[in-house]
Formats: sequence, structure tokens, C-alpha cells
Amino acid sequence: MVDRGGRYERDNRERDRGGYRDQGRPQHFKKRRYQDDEERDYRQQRPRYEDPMVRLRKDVLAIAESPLIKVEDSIRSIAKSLSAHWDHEAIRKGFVTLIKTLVVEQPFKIPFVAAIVLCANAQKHEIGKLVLDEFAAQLQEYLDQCEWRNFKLTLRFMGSISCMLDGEGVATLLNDLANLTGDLAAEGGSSGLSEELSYVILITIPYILTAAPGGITEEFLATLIERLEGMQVPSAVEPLLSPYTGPNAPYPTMNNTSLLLNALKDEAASGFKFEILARPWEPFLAELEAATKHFFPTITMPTALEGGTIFPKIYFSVFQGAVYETVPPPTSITSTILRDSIGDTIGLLDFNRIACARFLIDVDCYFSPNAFIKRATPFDKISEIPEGKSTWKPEDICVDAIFTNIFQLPQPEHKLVYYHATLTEVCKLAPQAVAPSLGRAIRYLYRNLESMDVELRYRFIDWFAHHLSNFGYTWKWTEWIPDLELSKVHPKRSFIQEAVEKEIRLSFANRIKSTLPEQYCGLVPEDKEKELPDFKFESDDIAFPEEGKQLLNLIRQKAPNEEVDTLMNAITDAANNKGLSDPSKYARDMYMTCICHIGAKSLSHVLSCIERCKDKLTQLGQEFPQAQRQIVGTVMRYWADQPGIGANVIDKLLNYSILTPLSVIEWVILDAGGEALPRGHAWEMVNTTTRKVVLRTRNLASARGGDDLPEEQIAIAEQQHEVAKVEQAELFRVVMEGLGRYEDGGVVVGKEGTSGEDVVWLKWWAASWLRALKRQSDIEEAEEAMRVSAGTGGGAMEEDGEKEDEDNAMEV
Amino acid sequence: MSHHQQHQSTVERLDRPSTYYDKSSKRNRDDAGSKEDPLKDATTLYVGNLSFYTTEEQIHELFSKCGEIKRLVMGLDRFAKTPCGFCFVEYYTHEDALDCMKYIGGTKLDERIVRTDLDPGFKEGRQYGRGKSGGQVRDEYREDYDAGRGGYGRSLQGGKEMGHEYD
Repeated sequence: MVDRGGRYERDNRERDRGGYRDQGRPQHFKKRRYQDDEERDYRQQRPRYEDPMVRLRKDVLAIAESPLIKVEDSIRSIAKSLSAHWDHEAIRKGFVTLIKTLVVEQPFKIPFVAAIVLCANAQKHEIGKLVLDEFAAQLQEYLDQCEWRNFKLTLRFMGSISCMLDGEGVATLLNDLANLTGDLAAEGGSSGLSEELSYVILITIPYILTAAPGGITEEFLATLIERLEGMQVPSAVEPLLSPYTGPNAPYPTMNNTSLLLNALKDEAASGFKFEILARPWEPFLAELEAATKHFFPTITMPTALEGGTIFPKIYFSVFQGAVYETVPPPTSITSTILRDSIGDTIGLLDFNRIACARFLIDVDCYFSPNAFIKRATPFDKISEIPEGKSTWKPEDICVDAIFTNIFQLPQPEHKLVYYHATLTEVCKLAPQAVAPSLGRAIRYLYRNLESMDVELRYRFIDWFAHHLSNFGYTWKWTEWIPDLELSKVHPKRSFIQEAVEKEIRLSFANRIKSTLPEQYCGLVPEDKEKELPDFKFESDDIAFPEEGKQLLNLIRQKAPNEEVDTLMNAITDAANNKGLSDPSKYARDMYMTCICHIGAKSLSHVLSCIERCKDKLTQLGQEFPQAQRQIVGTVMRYWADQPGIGANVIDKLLNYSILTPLSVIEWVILDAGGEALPRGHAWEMVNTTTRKVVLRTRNLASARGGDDLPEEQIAIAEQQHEVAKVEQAELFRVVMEGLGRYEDGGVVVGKEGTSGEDVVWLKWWAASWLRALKRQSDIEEAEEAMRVSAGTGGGAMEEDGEKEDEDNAMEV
Repeated sequence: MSHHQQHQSTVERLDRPSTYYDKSSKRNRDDAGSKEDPLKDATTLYVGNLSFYTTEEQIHELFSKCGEIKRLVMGLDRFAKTPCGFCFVEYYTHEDALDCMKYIGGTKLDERIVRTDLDPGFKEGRQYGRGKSGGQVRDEYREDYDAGRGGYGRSLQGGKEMGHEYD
């Protein structure tokens, strides 16, 4: 009976993981699939031979997944089948390969896989021997390649099979690693690698101590913790990586490695309990003690450590200080163990977000029974939990782990959209359980907007709008109605505005309007619903309206260049005769406005128009020192009601080298000015532009170090890199000086008549932009310094080198 | 990363081409011989199940979350030259295209689940629907009503009167 249930459970899960593709398939595909299912039912009635490896693979992969199957039964049966089939090479190879992959793809299962191996070893010691040798070789490979996460997880597995290791087992390895950490720390630890290694060693300790008893003693580990404590070096960039700043930050900045270290010290003092971890080996203890032990192969410490800077990880949570403790306190070892393991699951399974979401929802299957409260327990029912029992909500812990990634500075491991998609999947799998957690998370983030880093604020907006777009744009907007009264530059009011803007960009104005309470109507002005923005030369209160209409026709009809030039020169002459300052700006503004209007129908329309007119545009941008800045202004004025589209057009003009990065930045910081700082599109323009510049410099830096390049090409790359570095430094200088003047009051922010309170907020915006851009700039400088000191061309820079092919016209 | 490619993963990968491409390449297998995988460095995606009303800007907004978009080609009705529910998105890198398969395929755009598939690259002419009426083939004989894609299947609309199912 139990077995049947288990099989049913697995089938279901496989379908869950089978992906989304069916949903979008045309009907006739679906139909065929459906028939397939029926046939399978029929086939299953016949007894048929199942390949033992297929069966083994299925069973091993399903370990601990189902609460309906007793995990000790699974362990026993897999171990038995392993020793029965061990003579087959396919089984030996297949099994070892499978568990090597499993360990670095599904870390939740490590203690269970370890128990399988221990049990199998007790039955047939050759199994233990082969697994150990293969894993040791794999461990060495990860170490040599500096693949720290895979190294950590493989080491965790080794620690978990300590009981079948001769003598001290992995103790020598841990000691060697600690020595390596010490050497790195003594060099200053600027690459972050010593901190990373400390973390790797420390997080292995709980797993060693909760595994079946082996040769490593608590005293040894306590000494190891002490040694590592002495090696910690503060990171120079860390102060710029905290998610919150200011006196109202919801909690102090906490570094993950320090949290782990201190939690372990507390544990050492209270006798290492680690109650959260499962101990699946316990039922087999007697057999395991009698089993053959194996010699642990020597792992050689690497001589050259590759890889770029590893930034310190900062604790982030959206459930701190709540009425009920739904996530373990940050200082507890439980918190670190869970965050580490869930974080790795998320980091590793980016190739199947649906499977990842499934693991997150099932998190309670993989740790101690009773470690969490029942799934989907409503928040207000937590009060009914008896004293002394866990109040940790599995949904909150998982949601927290995903948000930790979204809010990680400077950048999370994967693209942000991966985490968006994973949250969406988690919500789809368990809507009733997850949606309320997400609601509390959103409110928490919203409450703390006034302390949040500006880059993270933007990520919050971006995620929020994207998430809602997957769920019919439903949100309890009514609860924020009172905040609509706040000044437009208040961080909360600005959040609401920008979130609505983002929603509209994913959808359209009328649709979004229909999802909002009527109090929000003012946020979606009529002009946003227009098919095309107005062509300003249709109006008479503007200089040269007739000429504007003429020029539009000329460009639209693809008139010869001479005709266009004649008209534009006439306008400049007329402006000159009228005694207007900068007389050529009228024709420039007119030309760019016409292109925007002709291309207003869609991005392809504007692109083909820009393509056709790019020589003229390039020339216009170069005829006068401020001309490019003015062109940016023209585009943004044309798209004033949909600035997101304007920002996209600017980005394309940048790619065509019609605009320089500096001109874009100058327009935002100096022309749009302080008023624009609360706007999402302004941040997007600056952030996209600086990142493009930075990426280009990095790519040139790595081109410079290309081993297989002929010398003269290296020299060219070297030179280009120097130029790019200077340009980049200039760009950041302009940004920081401009923002600095707003912040310190050197330049008055806001228009005349801006209230005192608004001025305070605008200065606050300037300060928070400044911090975010200083972070970008400091990081680039530090990376460059690292590259120089390493003497190589930055092998760590894995960013898309191909991006700079001839199609990307970023060459300046 | 390299590890994942060497060994079979313990869960299915979402960045593999669908069977659609497998099938059409099988057809060409004889002359293709031992040619290497045309999707090995693919930077383009076919995107399906869009609403006819979804704009380039909306597509850009969502798909640029996976990387800068090099080119976006809307699928058009061969006769009406209006969007007919698919498009090609081209990125600068293969990695961005794979990420799009992993993170955007199967999520919603304009409140519809979009389907993505790796594509060997856009060629002139492919932007047009191949159905008899000018749109996509799937919209010819579709029996369900889909407001975002012109109602019922076109052939059904033209050939039979509404309510024919009661005959």
C-alpha cells in the first residue's frame, strides 16, 4: 500500500517538474498528450521489466521527498538493491555519477544520500570505497577550479559519511583549508576569498557533528572555530553593501560569515545541538559501527587560486521584528543552516525554477520533523501554538531566501528575473500558503522604503510590478490610499507611482486603471491612454510650427538630404535673426521630435527611422557642445507621459553612438535635475548607461590579457582599455559631483517654491543615488586594482565577452 | 556549469529546445548529415501564444529582463500585416537566450502564458503566419474561443455558422 502511494506521489511530482510547456501548447498537442496518459494506464497493468539502474535512479532521486514513505525504509531498500547489483558496472558508475550530481544540485538531500552510502557500505564495503575515492577526486577538482559552492557541498557529503572514514577523516583537510584561509587573510583578504573559505569550513561543522559519529572530535572543531575567528578581516566594500541605511534601518547590517561564526561559538558553549538537521542514520547505528572504515585520500591544496572578488554576503530578511517569530533569529545557527541550504538550492536550480519551487515548498521534508509549523498555518493562528514549540513558517523561510537574493548587493548570482519567476512558481504551487507570506513581505519592504538603498528600491518596484503582472494585477491597493496624500517626492508615494508606471509598461494604461481603486486615477493620466503623443508643432504656441510640420513631411517622405538641410538651415537663420540664443537648437529639436513622432508607433518604427537618419543625427549631435544632451531632452520631452519608452529610445541612440554615455548622464543629473531623482526611468537611464560603460571597460580589460592574441592586438586592446578607463572615471566624476552638489545644498534642488520638506526629501534622494553610484564606481576601481596586482587580464571576468561584437555600436 | 552539461541533471532543464525543433530537424537529417547542432549558439527565440494586441514595447519590457535585446521581429498576418500572436526576440548572447528559456518561458505576458523556443535565427519571410488565412496555423482550426487571438479558429469562423455544434 505504502509503496503504491509513493509511486503515485512521485509520478505527480514528475509531472510538476515536467515544466510549463504543456500550458502554452496548441490544443492538438495537448490532446495527444492526454491520450498518451490513458495508454500509460493501460500499459501499467502489464508486468514489465524495469532496468535496475532506472529503478535505482528513481528511488535515489525521490529520497525523503514524500512524507508518506518512511525515509529509513527507502534508505534500507536502496542500500540493499545497491549491494545486490554492485557487480554490474552500469550500476556502480551510474550510482556514483548520480549521487555526485545530486549533491551539487539538491543539497537538501545530502544527509539522506550519506545515510544510503553508509548503509550500503555496511553491507558491501566496496561501495563505500568506490564512493569515497570518486568523491575525493571530485572534491580535488572543485578545489582546483575554485568552484566554492560545489566544493562546499561535496565536502559536506564527505563530512556526513565521517563514520566510515578511518582515523580523523576530513580533519586534515579542514586544517589545511584553515591554513590556506590564514595565508589569504594575511595578504589582506581583499579578494573576499579568505572570508568565503572560512564560511565553507564553518558551515561544514554542523553536518559533521550531526552525522553518524566519526573520528572528528568536538574539541578539534571548537579549536578550528577559534582559529578561524582570529583570521577574519573586515571587508573594505562591506559598508556600501548594506541594504538599509540611516537611523530608521529595521535592523543593523549583519555579515553572514560573522553570524555563522558567532552562532557556532554559542553552540560550542552549549554543546553543539544543531536540532534543525535530520539524522537519517540513527536507525542504523549498530550496523554502521560494525562496518569497514576507509582511508580518506589526501586532498592537495591548490597553488594558484583563480576567480574574481567574492563580495561579503549581508543578512537580509523581510520578516524581522514581527509579532510572531516566523523565521529563526539571525544570530541562531538554525537561521544560517537553513538560509545556506535553501540559498544553495535556489542558486543551483536556476535551470528549472519549477523544480526549485517544488523543493522550497517541500522544505519541511528535509529537516528535523517538527522543526517547522504545519504548512500554510495562517499567521494569526500562530498564537495558538503551545509554548516551546516551533513557530517557524516554512513559507516565510523560503520567501525570505528568495528575497535575500533579489536584495543582494552588488548583484545576485543570477539575473533578477530568475528570482521573480521562482516566486511566481512558488505562488502557483501553493497559493494559499505563500500569498499571505508575500503580502507581509511586501508590506515590510514598503514600510522600510525610507531606509532602503536606491538600487534595491528599484529592484523592489521591478519585482512587484512583474509579480502582479503574473497574477492579474491584483493587490490590496486600498491600504495605501492614505499615502497618496504624501508629497510626490516622498519615497512611499514615489514607490506607488513608479510601480503603477512599471505595470503599465508591462500592460497598458486602461487595463491597469481598471485594477486600481478610483483614488489612484490621478496616477494614470488621460495622456497615457493616447495612441500617440502629440506632435508639438501642431500647436501654435511654439516657435516655427509650420516649419515643424514641413520637416515632418520631408522626413516621412524620405526627401533628399539637401531639402532637409535647406529647411533646417532656414530655421537656424530665422532664429539667429530673431536674436535667439543657441539658434541651431531649434532645428535640432525639431529634427529629433520628427523622428520620435514618425517612430512613435513602435520600437521597430523608431529604430528603422533612426537607422535611416543616423548620419544626420550623428552630425547634429556633434555640431555643438551641448547638442547631444539637448537631443536626450527632446526625446524625453516627446515621451514625457511614457518616459519608459523615451528611456528605451535613448538607449538605442547610445548603441548607435549618436549619443555618448556622458551626454545621457549629464541630461539626467544636470538637466532633468533633482526633481527627476525619485523617478524610476531616471534611475534606469543612469544605471543602464553606467553599466554599459563598465561592461565595456571590463571586456577591454580581459581582451588585453588574451593569451592567444598577437602582440600588436594586445597593445591596441591595452590602449583602448586605457581610454575606456579614463572615460569611465570621467562619467562617474560627473555623476558624483552633480549629485554631491544636490546633497550638500551647493545647488538648490527642486523648482522655486518647493516646500522645505520636499527639499529635504530631494537631498535624501541625491544622497541615496550617490551611495549607489559610488558603490559601482568603487567596485570597478577595486576590480581594476585586483587585475593589475594579479598581473593577468582578469580571468574572473566572465561577463559576456561576445557582447562587444560589430553589431553593438558602443564604440565611441 | 560545465558539470551540468557533462552529466545528466537530476531534474529536467528548461533551456532545451522543444520537440518542435527536433522534429523539423529530423526531416532534414539526410542532407544535414553530421552537421553540428544549429542551436548550439542560438541567440534568437521564437515566442508564441502572444495576444494579437501585445505591443513591441510590452515584449521589450519583459524580455529585456534577460539581457539587452538586439532585435525584435513581430509575427504578422501575411495578408493584413497585423500582429498575429508570435514574435522573434534576438539577444546579443547565447546565454541570455538560454536564460530567457529558463526564466521567462511559461510565465505571463499581457496575462497570457507565453511559450519560448530556441531558434536558429530569424530569416526574412519567417515573420509571416503560415496559416491559410494569413495568421498562424494554430489559429485556423482552434475550437476554443480566444479573445486575444481573434476569437474562434479562422477556418471554423469562415466555413461554419456559429452554433454549428448544435447541428
